[in-house]
Amino acid sequence: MIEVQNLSKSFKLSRAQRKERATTNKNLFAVNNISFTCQPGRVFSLIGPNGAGKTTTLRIIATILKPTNGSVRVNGYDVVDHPIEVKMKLGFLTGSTGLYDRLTPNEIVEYFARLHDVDQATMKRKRNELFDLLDIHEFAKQRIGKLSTGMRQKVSIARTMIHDPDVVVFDEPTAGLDVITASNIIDLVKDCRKNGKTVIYSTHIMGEVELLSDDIAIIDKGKIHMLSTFDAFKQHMQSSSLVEEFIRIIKSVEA
Amino acid sequence: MKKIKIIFLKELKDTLRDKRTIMAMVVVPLLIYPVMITIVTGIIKSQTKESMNKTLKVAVFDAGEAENLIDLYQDASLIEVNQFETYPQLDSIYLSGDTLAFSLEINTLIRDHKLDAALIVKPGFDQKIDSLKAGHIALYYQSTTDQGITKQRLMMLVNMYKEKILKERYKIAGLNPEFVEVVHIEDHDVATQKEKMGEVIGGLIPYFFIIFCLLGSMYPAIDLGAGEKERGTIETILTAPATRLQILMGKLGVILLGGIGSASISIIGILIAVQTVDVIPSNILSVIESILALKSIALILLLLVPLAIFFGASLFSISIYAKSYKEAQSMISPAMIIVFLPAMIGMLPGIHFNYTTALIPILNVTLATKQIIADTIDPVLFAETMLSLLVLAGLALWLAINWYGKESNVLRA
Repeated sequence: MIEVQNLSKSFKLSRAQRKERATTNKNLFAVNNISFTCQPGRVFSLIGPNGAGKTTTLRIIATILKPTNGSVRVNGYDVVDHPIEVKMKLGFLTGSTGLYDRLTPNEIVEYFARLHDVDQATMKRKRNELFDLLDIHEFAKQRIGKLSTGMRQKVSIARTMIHDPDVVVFDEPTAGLDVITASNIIDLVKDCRKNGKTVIYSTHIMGEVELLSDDIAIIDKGKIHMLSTFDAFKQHMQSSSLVEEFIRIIKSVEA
Repeated sequence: MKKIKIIFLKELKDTLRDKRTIMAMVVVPLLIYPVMITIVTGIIKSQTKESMNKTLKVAVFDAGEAENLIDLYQDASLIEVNQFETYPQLDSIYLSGDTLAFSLEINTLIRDHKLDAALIVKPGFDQKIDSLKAGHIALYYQSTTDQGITKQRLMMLVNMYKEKILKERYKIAGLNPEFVEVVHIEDHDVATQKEKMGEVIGGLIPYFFIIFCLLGSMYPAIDLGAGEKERGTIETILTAPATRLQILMGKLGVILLGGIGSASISIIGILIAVQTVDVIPSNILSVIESILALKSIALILLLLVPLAIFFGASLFSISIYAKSYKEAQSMISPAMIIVFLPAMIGMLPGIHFNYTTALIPILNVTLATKQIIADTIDPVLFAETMLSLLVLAGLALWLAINWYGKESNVLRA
């Protein structure tokens, strides 16, 4: 479970950044007093335009950034006080794969398994399962730098799931991927939900939101402007499609 | 500790697969000494041999005087004496008495390698010799072409002539040669061969150790800091269950190993040079052997540990601040001057290892290494150097820990 309570995050603006944004404020609130909860066995979609605060929120949940105010708890652990316990339970997947070019899929998956204290026998079994599922075996000994984007994203999935995390954070995981590779990610998200994991999913692609969401939050300018179950959201939509409804909400915020 | 080890081993494997790093860390330090020693000694040897065996073209203007001296030149092997007739234009200038034009003409002929030297017997030579005075000779040559070997060969014949005339004059005056040579000097230089060469090439060797220590640290530091940002793997590692300190220590371990490893590999390079290059002059060989002594290696490595920590931690701090590999390189390049400058000052003669210079980082490493090679290291100054380097390494480490803890640096994009 992920519990976000009154979360805020501000960044200091340099003189050049203040000039660029035509503001005198020395701090910029990327996330401003937001609260929501992600339940196990459900997919929580966090959607919003570029610069809305999605990645900042996900980075705080993943302990990469520290909140300025408020709190985030992952499976009961506070991200500031117990970051290691949080990381042990968490998987983090982005669209930019984040893999080491000079290592092989075998080595990368083993490296992250060891960092997560997965014992050798479990690691081998789990790695085999994931490599079977994702068809990685044939390129398991090739260096990442020589693999295609699709192959790399498969390895990235295996790296994220090797320690069987309870909570999985997806930050625009299909950005720039072809349809087949993206479908691997969609399948993974569905599997996570089926296996009772807590999933938070950030995307720009409304088709994915429609396909995956159990709960939804629309965020813009650091604030959440809509938070509900996906079913309730669809029932109360004032537009004919999800894309139009998303644009309507964002425009009303800007107005 | 377990997490640090896992990160260290992974980063080491990753680093060792990077061709740029391997070139800077292993190949260059391993080959630089054998290549440098082979080239330098080869050039010196071949130049000396060539200059000694070359037939010298010497223009002699004797105006019919100094017959005995000229005979010595004409009888000497590998000297081709040309009296007047070969250089008619020079002859006419000489005879016209225009000494400036004559001198310039000779300079040009020697510089253009048409002549190797010119010997001018000044008018009245024979008369002066006969009246027990000193005859005048002018010798033109170019010392830069052959390290002065031409002059040596020509002066050897002049000295033979001088000896002969002197003997005759002692006889005429009924003097013993000791009448002129009032004091016999026995020359006793207490400096050992090691010390002399330690002073000359001993300054150069620590300079290379420092450079290799820096270069060996530089590439892993850039790759594991800015390189990780550029490849987008920084988020991946930050979400892994390891503290920032553990990640930093794992990375710094590899950077440190790169610095010390690179400097150590250069010692192996020296060993290879000794084994493979057979033309090393004996005095240089003696210095090399003293570097390869266990005690010297141990003391030099001891100095390199805090130095490598300082380099590694400082370079990593810069690297983690940079947005990309390229930016890190451009930020580190000017910083290298800060290292090279004191290292070069240490090579200058007259800069001594004392209580003040032992406190100046990098300069103290150069000076201490010179003394280690000369086997004259002062233990108190060595301890002071170590202390100064450890403080510096501690400060750099503290900066790196704080710097890596700041999300504004780590995620600066």
